[in-house]
Amino acid sequence: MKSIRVLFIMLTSILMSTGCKKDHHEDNTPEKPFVITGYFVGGTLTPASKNYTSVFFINFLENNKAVFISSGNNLTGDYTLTDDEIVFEVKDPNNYRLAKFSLDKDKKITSAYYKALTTEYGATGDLIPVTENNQLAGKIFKGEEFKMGPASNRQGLIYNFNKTSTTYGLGTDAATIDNTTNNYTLINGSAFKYVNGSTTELGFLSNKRLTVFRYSGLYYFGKYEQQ
Amino acid sequence: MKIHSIKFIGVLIIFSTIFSCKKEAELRGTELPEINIREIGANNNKTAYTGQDLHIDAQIKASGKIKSIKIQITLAESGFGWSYLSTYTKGYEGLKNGDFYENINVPSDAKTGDYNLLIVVTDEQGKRSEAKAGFSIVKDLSLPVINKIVVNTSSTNLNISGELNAPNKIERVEVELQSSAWTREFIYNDVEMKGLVSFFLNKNIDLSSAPAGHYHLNITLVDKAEKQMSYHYHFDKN
Repeated sequence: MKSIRVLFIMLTSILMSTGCKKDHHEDNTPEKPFVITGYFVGGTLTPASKNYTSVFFINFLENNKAVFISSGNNLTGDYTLTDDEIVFEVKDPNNYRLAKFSLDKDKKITSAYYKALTTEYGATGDLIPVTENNQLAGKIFKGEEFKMGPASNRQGLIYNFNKTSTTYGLGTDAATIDNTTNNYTLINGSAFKYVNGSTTELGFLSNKRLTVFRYSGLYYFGKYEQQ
Repeated sequence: MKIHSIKFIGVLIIFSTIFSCKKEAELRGTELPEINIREIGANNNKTAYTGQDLHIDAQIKASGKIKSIKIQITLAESGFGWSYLSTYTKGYEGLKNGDFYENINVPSDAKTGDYNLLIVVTDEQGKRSEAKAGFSIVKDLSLPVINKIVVNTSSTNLNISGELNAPNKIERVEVELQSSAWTREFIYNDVEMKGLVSFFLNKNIDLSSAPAGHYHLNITLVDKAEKQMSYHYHFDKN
């Protein structure tokens, strides 16, 4: 009699602890599934002449829509995602664009391709998480700026992003940089676009490196390490 | 004795299984959020004007409680054009029934044409629903506009001020004040502004008899050609 009671109590305990095991297991799954709308591409484009390098972003929206952001007007297109590739296409024949990004198993971009109308460009791209918080705020970056291709323009150029507002300043003398002068639009938490008159500057932060393109009469480009 | 013990333990097993799974069953039992788009543009005319606000009104029901409301606007076709993406949580998060009531500024340089609106509602359990609708962005330079609108409220007064501009000349200003318990309409066609192309509006509305609650405020400027532009605000009266 006693052994039967002990057996049933043990069975009860097992059922209570495992009856909803599957659900608990799902609740505790540590890995978040890869959702492309939670990422954007920050990348660079260089024509075959290597006369300049510019910066672009691609935002992945719902329903396979995507928006290409550069120093000009935004372009809306469509994207497809497979296990190992993202393809973005603007089908409008007057503004045809095609961008392809190869992905490894960890969803890192291993190669990039870009074509505007019939012109192909050398391309790079990083898949960067979209964040609510401003990843640029309070950070300082330093590096070399190039003008119209390989010509060095400024050594030791510093970008200083204000900690509390969406403003930044730049210069080579850290002591005189006013980081409240340029009011920028934050894009996806890790990228920015600044427009003032005929000057447009845009850049993105990836792996503690800020990549920036500026159109101000001439083209300027640089990669700046986080300090 | 043996039979009683087995019955007792059997009942214990059934109850423990039921109650240990109750929470999970409750979570699984909720329905997908429902989205009913009621208005895109003034009076649901499915038209937005460059440089003006696009008014969106949608009723949302989410038995699993609203976590976020994503608004996506893209060109209907691919190419150069305006796009908008924003996720709204403030004022909606945690609600089972919500009235999504927002105004989105359409840039003055937005490309005119056909656009798609997509509303995605996600509830606290990750269930999501979508609703889609089309609308047009047009440019009409002759439309009346109210610039620099300022709305100030207190427990007893509502003050509305702004610069009226109407190339076709001002006809009237209509103000609708709506809550679930108190609705009023005010029409201003004062002699001093009627027929002018610009005028500084400054009006006070007595709220002392208005009950506390959430109010929608619609301000519409109508010109002599009966073209109109509406502006939408909402506020809480204590």
